[in-house]
Amino acid sequence: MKRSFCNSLAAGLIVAVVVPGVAFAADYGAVFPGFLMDKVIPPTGKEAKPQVKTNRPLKVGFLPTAMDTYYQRVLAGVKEEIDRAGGPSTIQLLVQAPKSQSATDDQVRTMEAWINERVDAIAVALYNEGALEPLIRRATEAGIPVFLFNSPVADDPYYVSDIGYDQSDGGRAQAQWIVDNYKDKGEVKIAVLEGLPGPHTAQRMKGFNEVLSKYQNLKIVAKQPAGWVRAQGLTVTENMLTAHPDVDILVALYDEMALGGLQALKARKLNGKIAIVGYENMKEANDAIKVGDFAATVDTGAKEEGRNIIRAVEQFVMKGESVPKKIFVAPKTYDAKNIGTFDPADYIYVAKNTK
Amino acid sequence: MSQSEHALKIMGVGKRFGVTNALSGISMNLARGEVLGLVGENGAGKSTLMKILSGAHARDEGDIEIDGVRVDIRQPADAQRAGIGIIYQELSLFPDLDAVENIFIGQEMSVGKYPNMTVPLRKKAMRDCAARILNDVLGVEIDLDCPVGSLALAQRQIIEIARALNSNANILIMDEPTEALEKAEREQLVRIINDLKQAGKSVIYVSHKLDEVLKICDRVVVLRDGACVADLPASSLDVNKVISLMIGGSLAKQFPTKSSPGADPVLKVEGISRRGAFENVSFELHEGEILGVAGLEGSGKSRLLRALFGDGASESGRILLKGRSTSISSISDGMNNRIAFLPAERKTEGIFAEHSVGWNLTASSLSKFGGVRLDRRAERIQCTNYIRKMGIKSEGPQQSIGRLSGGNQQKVLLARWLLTEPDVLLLEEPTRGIDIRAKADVYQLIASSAQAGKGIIVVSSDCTELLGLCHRILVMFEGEVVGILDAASASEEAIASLSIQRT
Amino acid sequence: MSTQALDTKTPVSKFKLSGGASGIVIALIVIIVALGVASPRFLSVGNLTDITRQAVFVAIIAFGATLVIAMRGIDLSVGSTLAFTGLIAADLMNRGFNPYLSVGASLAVGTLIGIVNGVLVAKVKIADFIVTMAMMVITRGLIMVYTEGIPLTGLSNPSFQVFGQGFVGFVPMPVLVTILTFAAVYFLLYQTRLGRYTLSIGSNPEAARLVGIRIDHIKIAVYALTGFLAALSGVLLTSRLEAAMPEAGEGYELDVIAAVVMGGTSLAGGRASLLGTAAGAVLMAVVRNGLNILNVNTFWHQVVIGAIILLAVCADKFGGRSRDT
Repeated sequence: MKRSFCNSLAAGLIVAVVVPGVAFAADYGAVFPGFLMDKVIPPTGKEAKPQVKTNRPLKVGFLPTAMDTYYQRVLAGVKEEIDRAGGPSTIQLLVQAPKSQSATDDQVRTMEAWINERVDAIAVALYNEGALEPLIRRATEAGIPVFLFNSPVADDPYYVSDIGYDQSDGGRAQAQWIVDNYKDKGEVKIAVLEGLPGPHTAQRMKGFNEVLSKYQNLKIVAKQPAGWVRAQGLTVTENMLTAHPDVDILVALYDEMALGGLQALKARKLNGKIAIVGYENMKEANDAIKVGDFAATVDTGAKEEGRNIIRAVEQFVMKGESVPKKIFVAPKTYDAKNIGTFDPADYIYVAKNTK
Repeated sequence: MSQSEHALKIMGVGKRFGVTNALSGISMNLARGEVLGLVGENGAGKSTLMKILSGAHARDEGDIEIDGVRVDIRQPADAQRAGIGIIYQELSLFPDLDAVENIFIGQEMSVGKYPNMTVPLRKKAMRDCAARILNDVLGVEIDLDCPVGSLALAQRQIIEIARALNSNANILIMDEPTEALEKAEREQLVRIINDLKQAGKSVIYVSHKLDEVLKICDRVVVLRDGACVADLPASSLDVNKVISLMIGGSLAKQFPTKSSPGADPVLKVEGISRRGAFENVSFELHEGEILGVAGLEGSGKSRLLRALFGDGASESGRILLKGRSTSISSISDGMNNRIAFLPAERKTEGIFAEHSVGWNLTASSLSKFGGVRLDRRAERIQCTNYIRKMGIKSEGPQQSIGRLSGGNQQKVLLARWLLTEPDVLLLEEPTRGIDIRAKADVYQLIASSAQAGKGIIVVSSDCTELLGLCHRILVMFEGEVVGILDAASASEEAIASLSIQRT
Repeated sequence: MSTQALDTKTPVSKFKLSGGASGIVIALIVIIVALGVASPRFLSVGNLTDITRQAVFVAIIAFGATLVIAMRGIDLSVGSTLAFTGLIAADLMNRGFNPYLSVGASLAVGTLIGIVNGVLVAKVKIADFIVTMAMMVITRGLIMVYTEGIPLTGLSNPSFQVFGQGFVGFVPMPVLVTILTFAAVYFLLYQTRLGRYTLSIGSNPEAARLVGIRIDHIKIAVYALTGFLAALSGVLLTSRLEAAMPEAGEGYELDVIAAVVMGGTSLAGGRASLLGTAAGAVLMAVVRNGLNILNVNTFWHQVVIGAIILLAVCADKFGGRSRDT
């Protein structure tokens, strides 16, 4: 029994690696626009297999780590893509969000309920690397494919596909904007608002430092946590400015904190004088760029991430075709020069019939 | 047991708190099988001495020998090892545990050779042992299975004695053991003490009830201002002699002269009842009259008193105040009708221990002091007045009430209610746990309030007090009034026989 | 007992009811001096203004919580109430209502939440811990239902902005509001019957009942006051951020309790030090400010804050207060 299981695993591994991973990689670009081929990693063979489910509507669970501005935007993409695929009669979306960011136990309960209910696919965002692994395994063994989105991932062999973007690319994009605009301006002092300690902060900072460390004149003079939230962004910025009144650039790993920082700058009449580099391209950040309060922000393609979730489900569960292990898109930096090119419809769910 | 002369020998023990000598050079002996009475006013050093013997305080000087062996008692465990057991005035039992669990608390019998917290208990053996101590040694029947919180006070006290005996105590210290007991229960305790004495145990008996001390004890030690002023056989003493030793002079008179009450009833009660508390109670209280209420614990005397105040109000019947029919269904009603109530439990029902004398004094009449903003100046003046008028020994209204003696705390509480200018003053055990001089002061204050025309009801378990203080005494039994006696012609025996059985 | 003999030797304490706040004040001074030495910028006027402005949100609520705790109660719902009422003010303004009207409504709702807490505790007699915890979860849930996790923004009306961002002379408006609140609560606690009764209930509930204090009324009033102050804090925070954040005030209930207890108010009730509470709230803001200024490694922040709370309570226990019970 065990041996035959191993054999089939091995066989699956070969097929998975050789056939879809390499042979058809080029075709994915058509399904997932802007998809980054170099981020793809080989499958482990332990994932659920592609299947053609004919029941309609297909039940798809959507489980973010919390409900906030970012995930609302992902959800908008999910809904629009469902509309395109045939609406709620084709895919029925189940949305559950835990009560707070770190309530992994809430996510566990929801996953268990969905597994028992035999939903057709689950899309889940992880809070930590390796979180929920036993649940993802249980779902996979129950024949339910699991897709991850906006998740730090480590050593989880069971998920089908990790959808989103590389968090360190986000940090790189922030740093690159600074390099492009400040590399010839002598000594430049940078203060950073980090999020809560954890993989999101770590990965974004990793990319950021990677790019910035090549330039001697660009110096991080202060780096403090502000808990991802606006109120702390405000107070921590005030405090950092006391220690370093001569800061040139304020970087925040999330626009919420950057917006708090903006309040602090406004009180000191420093808005527009200290450059704020945000992350996420929230609506308010976008507006702030237009009036000159923000210098730049990084759009991580939240809505596209949502669309890609449904595209992957369609490919994998309805058409029975394989999908890449990572479906990542490149973050895009917006500043005063290109902010006009951004389509504000990207923030909201646009119902199909009104299009 | 070694065969030395004395079970306990105290030699030159002293204790200082800061610069104050609480005890200085106390020496005394306790023979095996002896009952020693320890008396003194509050503050004389009785509690300090007992705390040193029980390990709650460490002595500063002197030596203690037990059975001829010098012992060093620094903490309660040392005292227990030395065979000293203490039965406190405020019981130290766990109300939710049953008798067996209480008797064995801290020294449970467990299975196996190496006792630790996690091995199973030998419940059967403990139960048998507890039953043996209670039935055979102490000669009482107590329900071993119900939580001790639901037992009567006297039974709980016996469980405490059993606990001390179970820990092999040869010397038992009893702190005011009969303070809250009824007559029959007191007699039971006296019998138990005699049995313990026959069994070779030694007892130190601390009490304010001097007649009892003289009856029970072989010898009496009198403390005054931290020193031992007398160590005499009980047979050579009488109550007045002991009092003069205690106060270092003679007390003029314990009870004040009774003035005659007025003709008008200030309070008239007609057939009031409250289910499970009291039934069909009727009486009249005249201006300037002090009416005593006697009865056993559970006779309904306290429930009746509290009902008149509005706490657990009566459900039927009529209450007339100065001839006007009045409904009293809450404490606010009681207070609005100028009724005042002094509860028995000073610590838990009376004082606000964190706060000052002044704060405590004005607690029930704050509305007298300004509208929105409290007039603290008027408050302080009024407090200073009352402190002087009532003879409260304190440094002034700002002193913390926790630092006053029990007697002075009681006077503050009495002042609290006099300040409300009541027509009817309801007093529950007004002199419980306070010393002789303070008692006399409190009696004097009660008498002068009566003289001022107030109607006063006193509930007390001390018959001497009722006879000495009151004009008439109402006796209750199982929720009903079984007699109203004229204090001038009544006796303690008459009250007792009415309280125990209907005649 | 030898207490009588002791009395004559101990110095007369003043007829002062504000309790012992000296421990926390000493701790605060020590930390301020230490930070002043460590960073010359710490003691600048600008930074001290920032600190006070950062302390106000916790401080205002903690003034109310001081009364609750002095009454042997607890209120865990304050953080959620802050967010909920901030949201109400923001939402009404976004719907075009007058800012003052919106703020008034927000304060009314906060008071109402407090009254509900009080009625459930005092009349229905459910444990305060349970009541306020349930209230905390319910209001936070309602916020999520309404906002779906998205902040309410666009509160650019200048007459609203002035609450959180304005200045009166050199004094920031929120600090001024806090000082006025302090004065009002101080008056209530130490000069009125309400305050006296609150402390009496905390000191000895049974004795309080037997001197005719309407315990239920006092409890409801105190919870209502705390709800009102949480709403006031919510309005200030919303105005300061120009946004109502769904997650605002998360964890405030613990910061508030810490500020009160550090200030010398006993969880066992009966004593309250409003000045101590204010010092406690400032201390927390000072410590967080110091961590930022000294650029202390992220991972150490919580360790340091927890240690400071313990130290402050110890300082209060052993340093300042004379034991006179």
